[in-house]
Amino acid sequence: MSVPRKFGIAILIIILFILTLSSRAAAQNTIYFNGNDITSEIKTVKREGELLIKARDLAELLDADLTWRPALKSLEMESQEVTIKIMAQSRYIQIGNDALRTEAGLQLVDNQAYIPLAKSIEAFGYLLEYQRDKEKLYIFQPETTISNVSWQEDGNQLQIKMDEITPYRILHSEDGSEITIEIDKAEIDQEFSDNISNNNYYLKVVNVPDKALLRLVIKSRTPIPFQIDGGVYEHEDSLVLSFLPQLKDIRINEDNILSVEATGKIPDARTKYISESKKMIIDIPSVVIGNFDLDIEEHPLIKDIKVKQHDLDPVILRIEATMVNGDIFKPIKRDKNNLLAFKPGQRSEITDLQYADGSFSFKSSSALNPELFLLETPPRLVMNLYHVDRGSGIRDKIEVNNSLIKNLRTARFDEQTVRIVADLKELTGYEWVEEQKDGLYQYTINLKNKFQEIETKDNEDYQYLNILMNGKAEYEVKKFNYPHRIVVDFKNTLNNLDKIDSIAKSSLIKNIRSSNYQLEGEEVTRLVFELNDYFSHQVETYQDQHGIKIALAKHYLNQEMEEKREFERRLIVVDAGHGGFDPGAIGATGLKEKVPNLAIAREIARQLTDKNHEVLLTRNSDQFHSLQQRVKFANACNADLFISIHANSFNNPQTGGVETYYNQNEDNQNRFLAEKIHDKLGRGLSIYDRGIKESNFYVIKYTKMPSALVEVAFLSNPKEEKMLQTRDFQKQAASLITEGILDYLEENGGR
Amino acid sequence: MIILKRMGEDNMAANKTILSPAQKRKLLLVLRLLLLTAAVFYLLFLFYNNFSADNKLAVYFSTKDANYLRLEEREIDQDKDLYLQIFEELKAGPESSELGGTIPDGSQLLEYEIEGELIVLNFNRALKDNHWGGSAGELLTVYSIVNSYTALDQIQKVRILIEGEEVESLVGHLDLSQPLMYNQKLTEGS
Repeated sequence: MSVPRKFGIAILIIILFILTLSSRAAAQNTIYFNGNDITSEIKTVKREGELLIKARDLAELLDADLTWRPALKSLEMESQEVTIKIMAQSRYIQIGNDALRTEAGLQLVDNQAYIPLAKSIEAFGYLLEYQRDKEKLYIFQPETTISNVSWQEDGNQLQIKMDEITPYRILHSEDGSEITIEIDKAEIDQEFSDNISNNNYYLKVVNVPDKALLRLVIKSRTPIPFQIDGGVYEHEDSLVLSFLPQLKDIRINEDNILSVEATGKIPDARTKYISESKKMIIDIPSVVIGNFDLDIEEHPLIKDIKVKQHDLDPVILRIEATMVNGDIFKPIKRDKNNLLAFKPGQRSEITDLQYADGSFSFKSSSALNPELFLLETPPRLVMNLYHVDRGSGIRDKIEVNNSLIKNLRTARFDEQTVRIVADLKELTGYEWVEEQKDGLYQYTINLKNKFQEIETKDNEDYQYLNILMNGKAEYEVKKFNYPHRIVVDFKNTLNNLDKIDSIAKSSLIKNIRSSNYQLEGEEVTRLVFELNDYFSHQVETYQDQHGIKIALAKHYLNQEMEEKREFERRLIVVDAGHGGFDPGAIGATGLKEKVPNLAIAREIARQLTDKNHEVLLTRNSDQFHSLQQRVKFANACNADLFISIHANSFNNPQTGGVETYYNQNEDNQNRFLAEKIHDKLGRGLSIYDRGIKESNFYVIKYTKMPSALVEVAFLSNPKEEKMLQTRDFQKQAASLITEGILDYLEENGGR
Repeated sequence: MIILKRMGEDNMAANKTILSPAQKRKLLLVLRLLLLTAAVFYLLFLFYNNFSADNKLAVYFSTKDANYLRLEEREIDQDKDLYLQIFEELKAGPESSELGGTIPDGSQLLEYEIEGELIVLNFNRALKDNHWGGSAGELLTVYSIVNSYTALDQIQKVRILIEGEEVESLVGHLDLSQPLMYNQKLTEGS
């Protein structure tokens, strides 16, 4: 082969290669014009990474007049009063005085002019959306034109005027200082006027590349008070964004009235005073910092005012005024709803100091920051209130004289401070709460409840346990059997039962003890009466719920209950966890959880049936049932109780013990059931007692009857895995659970 | 005053006689290097103090007795996706020897989606299949994830999916058909 021939073939191959490449590139894109697929109607090529369209095809598509000047190799196209001009060897498309830079410019292919598709289309005012991943190119005629963006109603609304409202989205940046309004298929009017940019706001119009949408980005030096909920509405052909009011002005006039003005309605503000730093803090909800004037210079009363956006969710504006002296400013009645006003020298007034049931309370005309502390000799609780005056209903002394409190005294402590002192019988815990009512602030100080007297009384038929408290008792009485005992849990109560031994015991009461116990994350004082036999009991309150009277029936009620117990036949669903293809947890040496679960469940069923109860098992073989099926089964058969049996697991082999789960419900029956079952397991199973726990497990959450889930022991603990395998341990666990169930049925009767 | 000044001059004179120009240059170089390192340390110190406080993640791990979750703090890695980093930290496990990891081997967070205050986490099957089971085990795994994500201000609820599918539970106890919220009771010291 001669050299020129070789060369020619090489060129041919290259040309072919380029041709296939370019045709493939063109074929890859599907092009839509106003929603119609026009790919086959137009010719396109790709040059320098840019998609070019045959100029004549484009002219036809847009109904444009095309002029080709061969001598100049220049092309002109006119459509809807827009003329574009493009020349060979130039990368620019000229539109009037402007020029759009392209990559490829005008290219001649087979003596036909091809021009950049995207840029020409854009020059004619069309919108382009390119879905790169799907290689689809959409050309749209704009559906709406945005002509004007302006402030309305004194800066509380932003109006975007457009021909027609197309789909839009409103996004805001995390710090709130930027919002983006994204409008689909929109173009900007040639005579668009930006009427919102000022020294605080700045508007930027962004054409998003390859997307047929327009973004209006509004930036501000301060958070933009855009209402997160319900802040946008459509009004005729405008999109209206409502803004929260903005702070406009803070000033102090000749009469020393401090005023705070916003561009709209200001809700009630909260003021507080910090005496040490001579500061007044005004927290205004739903107002945003804006471009405000602060006109306070060298004022004899106010040293300095700081304003900041304290929070954005919820929106709170904070004004912090530092006073020259300890003077305070008090809110005065407002005559305009966009104005807050404060007058100096007025102190808050405290009124209506009262004592009731271990609590004392008073009202104040503004929010206070009370300081509370206990002093030991003599025992008293002291409360300092700053910048207040004593108003009506505040006496120097209120005599209480109960076992908790002797007197309440009030006095002016110094120029700034009023002091309330509660003289206590002995030191006790306290908590205080603030409530807002009718524009007044009510403060309540609750002293912890205490035991006043516990006595045991006897008559022929009953043994009474009387517990008298200083305040209204918040309590729960529970009875446990084997060993028989009455347990009373008291909330918000100080354990002052150090002399509990001295309480007279009777023939029915073996022992009385007390402890501090965690119940649902709250510390309670637990009082336990150990009984020497089973007695039925009744609870009533006396002395306006200050006292609890527990009556234990000695004879006949006992016998009646005994008989009753025989006849109360209940339906109990026992659920052996896991099964079938779901083995549950797998033990250290391979024991599958589903196996001991079923063995224990069956044993419980046997024992409960022996006691004349009806028992249904959710599974009686190695079968899989979903959690939902188990729940449906128990609910459908209208069971009185539901007990789920499981074995535990964790990724630490040392962890072990027994625990019982319940799902918190309104009548607490789930917890009572768990308490009863776990009382037996915790003391009887001789492994670590992990206690009762609350959780939202599926089967105990959706079953409608009292339910509990027992995790008997840990399979992941080699020692306990071995135990779970033995028949003895399974039987023992089943017996304890059964005893707990029977105990619960006796005391609570099931559903 | 005058005496002091004299003494200073005397010292300088003494130095002049002792140090050769080459030694002087060396000394200057050392001094410059010292200054430079001091400046670098100062800047590092400033940087650490300014940015460390805010840029922390709370990730939760279980106590060894499987009763509670306890948080450990981690620096936010600016180069990583925040939500993916949280799961990476959970997977990497605790620093403290008193705590244990809660994520089974091979678990992967395939993707996540944020819908308002809810984050939907889509995990691979390993989270379920390689799990050791048990109520305690499941509670700690699920809530170590839930508490770590809801510790972020912007997240209130977590929904867990396994390979894009809703599950009634991870290993047969806890209800995962509903989004879960921060669990205070399971958190130590609460």
